[in-house]
Amino acid sequence: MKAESNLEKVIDAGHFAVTAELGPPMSSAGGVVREKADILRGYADAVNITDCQTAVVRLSSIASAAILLQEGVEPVMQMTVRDRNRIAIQADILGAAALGIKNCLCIAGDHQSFGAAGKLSGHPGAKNVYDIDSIQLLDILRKMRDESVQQGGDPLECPTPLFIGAAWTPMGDPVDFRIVRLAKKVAAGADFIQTQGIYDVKQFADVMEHVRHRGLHEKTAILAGIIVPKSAGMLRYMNASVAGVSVPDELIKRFPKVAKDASPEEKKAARAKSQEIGKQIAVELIEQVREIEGVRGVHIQAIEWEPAVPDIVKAAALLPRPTVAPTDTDAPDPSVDSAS
Amino acid sequence: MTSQVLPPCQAACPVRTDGGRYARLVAEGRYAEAYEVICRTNPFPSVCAHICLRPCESHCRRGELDSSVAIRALKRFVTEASGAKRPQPPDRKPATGSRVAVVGAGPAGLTAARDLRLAGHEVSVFEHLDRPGGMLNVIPRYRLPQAAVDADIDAILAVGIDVTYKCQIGRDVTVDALLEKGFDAAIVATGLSRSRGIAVPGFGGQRFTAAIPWMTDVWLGSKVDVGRRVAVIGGGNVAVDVARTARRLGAEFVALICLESREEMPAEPGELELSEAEGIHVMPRAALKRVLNRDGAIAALELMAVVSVFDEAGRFRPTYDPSRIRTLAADMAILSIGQAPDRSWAEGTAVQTDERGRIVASRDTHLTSHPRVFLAGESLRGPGNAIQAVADGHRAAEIASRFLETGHVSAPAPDDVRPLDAFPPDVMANLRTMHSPAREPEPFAETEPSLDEAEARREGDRCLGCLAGAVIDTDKCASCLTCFRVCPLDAVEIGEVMTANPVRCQACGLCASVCPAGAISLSYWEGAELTEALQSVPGSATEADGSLALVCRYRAEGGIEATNVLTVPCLARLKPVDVLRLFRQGCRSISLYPCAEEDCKYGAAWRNVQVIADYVRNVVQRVWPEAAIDLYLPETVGYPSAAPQEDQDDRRKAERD
Amino acid sequence: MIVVKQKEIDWILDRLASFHKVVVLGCGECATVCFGGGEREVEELCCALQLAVQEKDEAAEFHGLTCERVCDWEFVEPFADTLRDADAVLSLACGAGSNLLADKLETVRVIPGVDTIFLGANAGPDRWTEMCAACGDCIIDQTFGICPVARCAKTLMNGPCGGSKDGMCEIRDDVECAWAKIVERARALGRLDELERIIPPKDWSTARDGGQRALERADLGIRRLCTEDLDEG
Repeated sequence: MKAESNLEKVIDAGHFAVTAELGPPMSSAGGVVREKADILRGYADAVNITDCQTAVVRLSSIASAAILLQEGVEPVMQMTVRDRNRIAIQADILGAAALGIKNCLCIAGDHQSFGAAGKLSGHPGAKNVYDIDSIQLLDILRKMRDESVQQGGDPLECPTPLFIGAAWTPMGDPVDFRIVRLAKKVAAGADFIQTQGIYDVKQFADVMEHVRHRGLHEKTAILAGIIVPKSAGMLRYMNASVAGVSVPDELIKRFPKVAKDASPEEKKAARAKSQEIGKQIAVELIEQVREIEGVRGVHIQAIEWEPAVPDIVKAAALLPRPTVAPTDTDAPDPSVDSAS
Repeated sequence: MTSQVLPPCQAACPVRTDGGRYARLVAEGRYAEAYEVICRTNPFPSVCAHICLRPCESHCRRGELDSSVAIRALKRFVTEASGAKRPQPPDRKPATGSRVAVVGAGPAGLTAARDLRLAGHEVSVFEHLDRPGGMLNVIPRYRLPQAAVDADIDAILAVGIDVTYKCQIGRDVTVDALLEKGFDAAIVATGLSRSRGIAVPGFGGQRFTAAIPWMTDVWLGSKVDVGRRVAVIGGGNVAVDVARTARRLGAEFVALICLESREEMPAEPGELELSEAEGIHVMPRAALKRVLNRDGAIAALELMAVVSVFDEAGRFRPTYDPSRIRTLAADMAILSIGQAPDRSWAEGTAVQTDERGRIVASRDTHLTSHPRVFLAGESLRGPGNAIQAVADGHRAAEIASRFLETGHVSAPAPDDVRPLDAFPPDVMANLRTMHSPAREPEPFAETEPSLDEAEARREGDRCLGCLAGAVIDTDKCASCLTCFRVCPLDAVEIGEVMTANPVRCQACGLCASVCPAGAISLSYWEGAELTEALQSVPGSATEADGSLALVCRYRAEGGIEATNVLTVPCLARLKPVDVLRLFRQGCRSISLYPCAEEDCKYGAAWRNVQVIADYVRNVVQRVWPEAAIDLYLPETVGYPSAAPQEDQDDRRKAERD
Repeated sequence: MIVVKQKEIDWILDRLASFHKVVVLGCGECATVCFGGGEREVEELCCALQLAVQEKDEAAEFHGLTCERVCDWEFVEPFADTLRDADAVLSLACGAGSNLLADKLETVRVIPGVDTIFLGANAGPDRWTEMCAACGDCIIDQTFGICPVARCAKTLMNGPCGGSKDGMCEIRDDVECAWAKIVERARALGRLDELERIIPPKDWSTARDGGQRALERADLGIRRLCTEDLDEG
């Protein structure tokens, strides 16, 4: 056991893991985090809190994670390298561990020019840090945990328990290099992986064959990313603009078309229908990726739609979430049946 | 047409001797090459080494700094003491079938004869004395040794010139006769054999003689007649020679009487002091009023005071004060007031004379009124010195040779030459800092002392290298400004690319060694020559211990213990890559021996050599720790020793024990 | 070369408003080559500035000068009197030259007329791109000649981020993804295996982060012989 986090135990026990994502508010209103925690409690083994996603200032991931702990939900803290140098990062990690946060996802972070894809001003003029990259970060965290040492060699007085995660875009460009990327992350110290959203399962399955060929699926727990679509428009946008996400046409076609001059009631009905279809698609995707050898769980992202998660988890027959006995390395708890 | 700029020494020399070049070659110990440079334009190197009036030295830019380079003394060193052999003349061109008669075997005539012979023509010289040399025979032997005259003339005649002695033109043979006999052209170079006279009362008695005939008798050994009290009248070099000769012959009292003041006297500076040191009485500003004879022989000279010699326009218009008289007892008077040509040979020939009796000839083409008779030397130009005679001989030969080939007589294109400008004041100031302290001018001695090898090399080293300096290849120049920053004389001009100003640059070569673009070469000293020399090192250096000593070529002293020694003209000119290549070629240990600071041509170039050594050591030892490169400075009084540490330790240990 | 881009003329006019005698100084090297501040730009700008002030009926004077290279004082020094005589110098040289100019002129205001935008190379007609960030510790041997510091928006060292799409960077669709290029080059050379190696965190102390940098080359010993003592140099 590396950190004895719930997520770690679930994965270690061989269960199909479920993580979900929580978007913190653009304010200091901790209450919003608590509300979202409420919604997600019991439906995931751990909950990610994004870290200034799209370079927009929000309640920090580490603080949100601390709030989640208070609410009895296990957090997955996200650490980008965009905003902090190696000194701040390591200090924050020590702080997070001290607060009881055990899972940390290491990511590069969207470039500060993003500004919520143009909807907000954001901070394109900020000095980006990127003192280290995400892979170097994995290595640093691993050494903080396994060797009690800081980057550069200075000692830490005791080990820093962490279950270390990394993001992975299996179908990103250049596709053949993505396997190497994964291998590097694993070698650097990724205990678990959360992938970019999968829509083309066949394509993902092909990639996973390469992953298995290199034995990477045994060295790290790969959780397939499931982004819950809200509309055809959202799928079209992601297909066109989000790197590494390709959406098969059939999925887009499943959504109802709404005429521009439709009445507000028609539009409202169509929206509600779209949401249902979206959740349905998410469930199907979960079932499909579960079939792929080497996929050890899913990471469900319902962007600004946390309430969708419980429905999806339920419909995908992923309930109840397992509770694993602490530090028992013998046979898994027979009371837990992942297929129930 | 733009004029060609030459070093001032070369521009001043009538035959364009590259004085600076041979001086620098001497400095480097390259004596044979120096001799070759000297002989390029001058067939009378040994003679000139003694008596040339050295216009080069008067214009030498080193003279602006302390004293001019002793170019003539260096010539003497090369021709007499360096051990180098006189270079062979160039190959004779194929026979042209033409024949030229040269009348007069003086310097002008013999120079012309040699040139014509080498051009492929047959040459016959006709000389009225019983030996060649002309006026060279009349110069006192303490000034011009016979051996020098013989060496030059023997070499000239050896190219294949046939000489008939005791043949006086006009009397024994006429030009017309020569031309009828089969000579295609004639060059008359009979000089100024007549002495000028002076019309004073009492003139013409016994022992009232003229300089040339008297000197001829003395030096050609036929008759020596000298009085007890000799009055020499005249103020030029010949007059001084006469006076000094008379003194040597035993005259108790010798007076040198001239119209000019001491300062105006045409004799070479220093001659007066030499004369007075020998006990000659110099009497300036005195004119001969009349000669007092007794019993047909001179008893005394009446001299009157001279008020002025030249008028406001500088013309020779002496004025006297006849009321101020002094009487000088003398039993011999020798007139040395100038020479004139003997024109009697032209009578009865097609060579015309003008109403004043002067031979009609073009100063441009040397041609007389006879279409195949040319003049050369003093007979054309009037009084001149030896090197001027040589120059004129060259010119006449060129014209005559062209005439023989083409049938046309034409003057050579005007020689549009300009001497290099004088040093700007700031360059002068920096030169003073750079160069060794000024040499003390040599005290006057009886004759100019000859230089030994060490002195000659040091003297040649004083040449500043005018127009031998840096040439920047504009294609390679990156305008990095390094040459500008290194140049001690601010000779680099900044522009889109750098250029080295030849008026300021004195060829120290430091810019060439540091230029990162390899864009600079020295026009005289080619770095390629050094690179080649260095590349030829392998065989010797890689024997035994792989050690090599690089010694500054300007170092006069020895004392370097090394099996393999390579001399380099100024170690500071080395590029680090040249030294690195030596390691590549197998050297394992290189020792650098620059000059001591007080001997250094550039004052402190050893510092630059230190930088090069450290730089190379740093590069080499990273990849080959066993390699060694060290700098050794000569042990000079008060100079901090730069001997390697072990030596110092050993010495201290020896002192302790 | 150092690539510069002229500032907007409004900005320049605004900054020069309080000066009456202005020298517009150009540089003959980089600034010329990228059409930011060479002789051509000096002349054009003087014209434009003069026109502008004419319109406003102001009595400002603009005098144009171009030096071979502004970052070596010896090239500028011959004009020092003219420069010191001005109220301000509008420098079209890159930041290096402009800084040196201000250091040497001291009392004369130096106004930058260009923005120094990057170290780059010509990338086709009318185009220059950033190639080097002068980080002081070059690792392009490991990245097949493509600098991840200058050419990756996130200075990643170990492969493209998830935002790389069709060889382009997530920040703009006209910016190439440096890592896509690196992978492509590695693949072409058959050396993809080299990219499996994890490049450790960079020592940024040699970059701007470590403070103003200087290069000392005492081994060159470039001094004016005999007038400057090497030992005291």
